[in-house]
Amino acid sequence: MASNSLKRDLLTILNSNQIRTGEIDRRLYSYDSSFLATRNSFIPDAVVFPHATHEVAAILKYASAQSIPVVPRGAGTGETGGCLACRGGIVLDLSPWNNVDEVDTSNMQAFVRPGVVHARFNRQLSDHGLFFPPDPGSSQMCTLGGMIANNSSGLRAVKYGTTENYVLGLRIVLASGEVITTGGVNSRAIKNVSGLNLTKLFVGSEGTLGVITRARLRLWPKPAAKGLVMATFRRLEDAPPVVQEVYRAGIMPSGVEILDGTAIRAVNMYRPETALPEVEAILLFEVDGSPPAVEWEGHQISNVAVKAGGKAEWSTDPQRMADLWRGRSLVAAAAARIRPDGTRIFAGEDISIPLDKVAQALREVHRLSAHYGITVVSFGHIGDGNIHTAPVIDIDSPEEVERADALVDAIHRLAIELNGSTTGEHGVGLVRSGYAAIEHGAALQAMQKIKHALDPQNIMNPGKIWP
Amino acid sequence: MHTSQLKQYLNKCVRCGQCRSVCPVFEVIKEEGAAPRGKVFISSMLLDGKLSHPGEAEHHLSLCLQCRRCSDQCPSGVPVHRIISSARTKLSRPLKQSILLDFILPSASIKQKAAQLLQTAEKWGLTDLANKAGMPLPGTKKTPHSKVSLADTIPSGITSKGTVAYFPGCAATYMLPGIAGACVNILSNHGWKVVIPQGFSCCGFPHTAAGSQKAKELKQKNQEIISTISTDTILTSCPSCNLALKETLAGQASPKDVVDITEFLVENNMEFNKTRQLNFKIAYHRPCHELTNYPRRLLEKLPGATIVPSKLESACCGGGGTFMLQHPSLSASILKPKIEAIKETGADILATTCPVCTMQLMQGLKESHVQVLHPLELRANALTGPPYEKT
Repeated sequence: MASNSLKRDLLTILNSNQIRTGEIDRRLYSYDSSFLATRNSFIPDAVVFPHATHEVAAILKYASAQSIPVVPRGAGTGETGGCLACRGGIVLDLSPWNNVDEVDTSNMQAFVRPGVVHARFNRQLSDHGLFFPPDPGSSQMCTLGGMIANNSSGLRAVKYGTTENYVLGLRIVLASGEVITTGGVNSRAIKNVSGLNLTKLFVGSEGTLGVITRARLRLWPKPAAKGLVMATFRRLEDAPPVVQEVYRAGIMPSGVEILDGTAIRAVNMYRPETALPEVEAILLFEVDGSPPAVEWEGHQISNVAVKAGGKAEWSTDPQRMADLWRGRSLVAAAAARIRPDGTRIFAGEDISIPLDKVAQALREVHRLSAHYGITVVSFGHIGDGNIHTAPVIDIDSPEEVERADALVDAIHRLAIELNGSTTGEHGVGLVRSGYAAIEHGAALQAMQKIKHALDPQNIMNPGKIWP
Repeated sequence: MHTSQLKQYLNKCVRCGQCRSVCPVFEVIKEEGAAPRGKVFISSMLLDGKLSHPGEAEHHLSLCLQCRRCSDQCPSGVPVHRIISSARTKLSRPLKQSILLDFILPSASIKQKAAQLLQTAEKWGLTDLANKAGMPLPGTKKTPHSKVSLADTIPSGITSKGTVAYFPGCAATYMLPGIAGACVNILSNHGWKVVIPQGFSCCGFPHTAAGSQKAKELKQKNQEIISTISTDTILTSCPSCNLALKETLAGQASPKDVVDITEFLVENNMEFNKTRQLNFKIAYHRPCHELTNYPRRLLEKLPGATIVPSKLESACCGGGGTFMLQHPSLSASILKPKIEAIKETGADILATTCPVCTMQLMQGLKESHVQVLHPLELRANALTGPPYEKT
């Protein structure tokens, strides 16, 4: 669409300072964190900054009438191309719309706008002794709207679950411009089983069904105490069974993370002073709750790890816990720097594997890494089987990029073969849409029927989730 | 930066967006173009010649304070501030910035005259007029030490410990002479003969930040002068000068230690037996380029003083060298929450080490009773100065 006429039309809805149609401004919204976006340019026709539900409604009504794609966007920290205008159209940058409308401490819930940054939200809640449990690695910059659209989670999902467990209701603008509130129009109830669960339908829908303009989120009391166990294993195979053994002992840690040999070597190369033991696997168990429970669970986990042939250190001292976490917190940076001329790419980075096949998956990833001649650093949330694999390549070498593409495809197919999924928490977007049919079978057609019913013009973030 | 090195750094940026969480400019302008990764992206397009109207990049690339928070936080180790500086070399600079960088800062005599002009302007009440016209003058500062001469003699009765070289920088020489006076005063009272070598040039920090070719020339000139200094240590009182001199001397055949005077005093346990009590509440502003905790430690040693914590102690003030001249309104928006936080502390004095921050914070606090001073000025005042009066 000619940008002049689009701008003129948008000016009937928004103020001029809410609209960008210049070349540089549009290009600035052509990327997210995916490797796909470094190789392709998905330039929208316009970028707008709505700050009210009625503004979003007017934009969508107009876009439906004109069949213009609309792509909602948060902080653009995604790794899947989910917020990219692959068919042009209008990008809605919702990140400046960052008001926390209300924290209802009595009812343990908050009402937020889509652009609230996760870490800031939790800092605000901390004053009330509350927290919003999902905790993505991008906490410092990602928005709650983006988290809801992608059903994000992080290392504490093992105990607390994912974003969907904390969304009580949503205000949604549908493609037609119609505004609905899910979870009860005026409800402040925590439990609600009246009607179809539309809230869950929209959580994780990646902007393909409508635009979230307000969310009612469930909050939890902050745990009184935390502790951390670091367990090291000479053989990779010894580590995953320890996780299941801990569960059998009746313990649900708030985080269970793994660094495999590649990740350990990467951290030690990047920061030699970290001096992680040169073993095949390090497990980190975080426990939280009341102080006596934390103490008991920490000792139990240590015993389980030692019985399995590992070594364990247990601490509740904040400084020591920070030291023990250091390897995990450095691994992403270390992966980026393991090769001076290399770039850590976000591709094939989020497989989800059944707990009893995690060790097999890690071994297979090592084998694929050797087969394709590409370094892959592996780490992640072993407690729920969500493994992050970080290929490091020379992105200026077409031949290496081609090999990386093949490696990434093999990693995705491996996850499916092992009865897992291509993505545990990052989403599908553009990069994994090709696997929708084999992951979902006939359920894909049901998804497409729902999409068609809510967005017959297919204007809402087209091209995502499935091709 | 060499093109191949630049390319390697650009490739390292995976646009994770971590930098969005720390950028003071993005905090105000919440658009991708103001985010550091956005500026890296624009730099990349500019350097690759992908922009059909490269001049349009000028505005976006000017939206950087060179505070370096993004570079420090980047998980991939991308030196964002250096990439932006390199990209700026490709662009023409605004007139105001060019006059300052290419004409005023490199010349000692012009700086001297400019300082006199500013003092006259302030005397005649022209600073307010300039502010209204969108050309804020940084203002000058009258402190109990502003008339201290830079005597390099050790007071009688004090045992000589040796000689140190001092690099006062442009601001402490011309705009805020109280800082340089305080440095010399303290050091000489500790038995150090202070040498300020003739011909020191601007440290070149503003030029490097702006991508000016002049930076190289200034650095070379300083290297030549420093090579003639017999002392091993060069002391600084400005954190940005400190960073710039360290970078200037990196890789030199016989590098000298560039040390902030507060570090020199604290590490060598230089304390005075007889000092006057400073019964003030002092808040601290940590400049973006202040990499150590020594200035705060020095403040904590001041007799009688109470250091009051400020919520935004380490937040950027929005000064950013020429940034506050280029973007006065944006600069003021970045400053605003900081000023509110300082006022909340109930402090009588705000201490900070950076002259640009000092001038910016003086602007922000001009309607309040809070005085802005360098920790060294407070130290010197406790030692020899006349008692401060609360304003």
